[in-house]
Amino acid sequence: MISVNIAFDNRDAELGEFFRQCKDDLITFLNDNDAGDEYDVHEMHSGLCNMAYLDNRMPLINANNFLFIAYSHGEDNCLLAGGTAYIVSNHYSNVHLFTNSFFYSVACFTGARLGGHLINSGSHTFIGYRDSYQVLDRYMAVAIECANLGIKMFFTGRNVEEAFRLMKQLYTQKVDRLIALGDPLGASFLRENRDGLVQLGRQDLTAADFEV
Amino acid sequence: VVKVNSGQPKIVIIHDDLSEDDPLLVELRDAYGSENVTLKKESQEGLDYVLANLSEKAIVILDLNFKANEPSGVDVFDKIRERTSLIYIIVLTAKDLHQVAAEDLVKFINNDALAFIPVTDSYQKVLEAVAKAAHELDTSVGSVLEQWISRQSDDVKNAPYVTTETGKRYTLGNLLDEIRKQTAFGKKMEKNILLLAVDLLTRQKERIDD
Repeated sequence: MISVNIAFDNRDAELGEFFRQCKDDLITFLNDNDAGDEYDVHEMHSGLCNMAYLDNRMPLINANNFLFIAYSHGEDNCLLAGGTAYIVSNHYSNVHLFTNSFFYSVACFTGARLGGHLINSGSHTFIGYRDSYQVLDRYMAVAIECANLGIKMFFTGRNVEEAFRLMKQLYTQKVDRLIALGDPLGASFLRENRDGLVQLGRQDLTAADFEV
Repeated sequence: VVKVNSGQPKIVIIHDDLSEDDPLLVELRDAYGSENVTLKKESQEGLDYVLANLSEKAIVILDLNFKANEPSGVDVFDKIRERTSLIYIIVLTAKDLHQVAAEDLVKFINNDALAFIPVTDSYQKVLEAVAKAAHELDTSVGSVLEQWISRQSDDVKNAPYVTTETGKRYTLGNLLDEIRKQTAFGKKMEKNILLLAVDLLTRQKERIDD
């Protein structure tokens, strides 16, 4: 069984619906691809995205390998829900709670510093964005597909390196698609998201390494 | 109704000392087409015309002095710049440079007045400045983006288009304002278009090399 922990800030005024749809898309994917009780999925909505909850929750699982997926706003050093940091790497740091994790972040800027701090604190691998991340409302399905492809490919057996490569490849395909549709502006936002993607830490891990 | 001129720029002359048969207007009409050259002798009327046609690729030739009950050239310049930085403005005035208030000169320079030409100079200088502006209108990323957005239907322009890292949601109409006002986000969009072009060209070359 693989421990899959999903934090999503569904109450965010502007992007809450996007974060929730990303989470639902991933849950649907896991349900559709679950041969048995393969995944132990734990959802953390806005009310649970806080440091106190994580202080209690993470020690229950972080002795073993696990996945942590975050859909929320972010800054260089933290992830935010309702404007308050819930994962942070400053002097109130709680990044040590994520030791043994594959940390997958759909949030702005977290690849700039937080990702490195997570790796230095024992996370195995990190995928996220080092720059701003724009959500294309006009192409919401495309935005969700691109946001989740990396983690989905990982669940289908690809190692981290391959999953990351396929994620970038999908972004490029969508850039070309929007160009073909005559929307260079949308394509330019997707290119920005693609080029902001970073992967840190181990590349060789597969889902099998997270089975407990 | 959105009017888009995808070919020659619109040239709007807001000047109370010029007439329809002035040699400058004759030359401009020869070069850019009669339908693209408009003379407004009253500054308020000229300003209203420019603001009602922001989606046009436009070059404004602007006088500084108007009747006392009319907005001054500086006022017109300010009102246009409040709405867009993508319209090129050439100041053509009977005043010498040293007769223009220092703060107004600074304002013109800081807000991208393309040229400041005394009316006593050869109108050839005005034609050269207009040609330079027309070239920049054809090649500037901001103007190209403005044209692309202006071509979209009102339904598309008014629908949510993108939400940024700050949680701010923009329609295409909002994005057009960001580009016209040359905000940080507007400039970032222009840069993104250039980066996209480089990306597309680079990948095209890779395909050719393969």
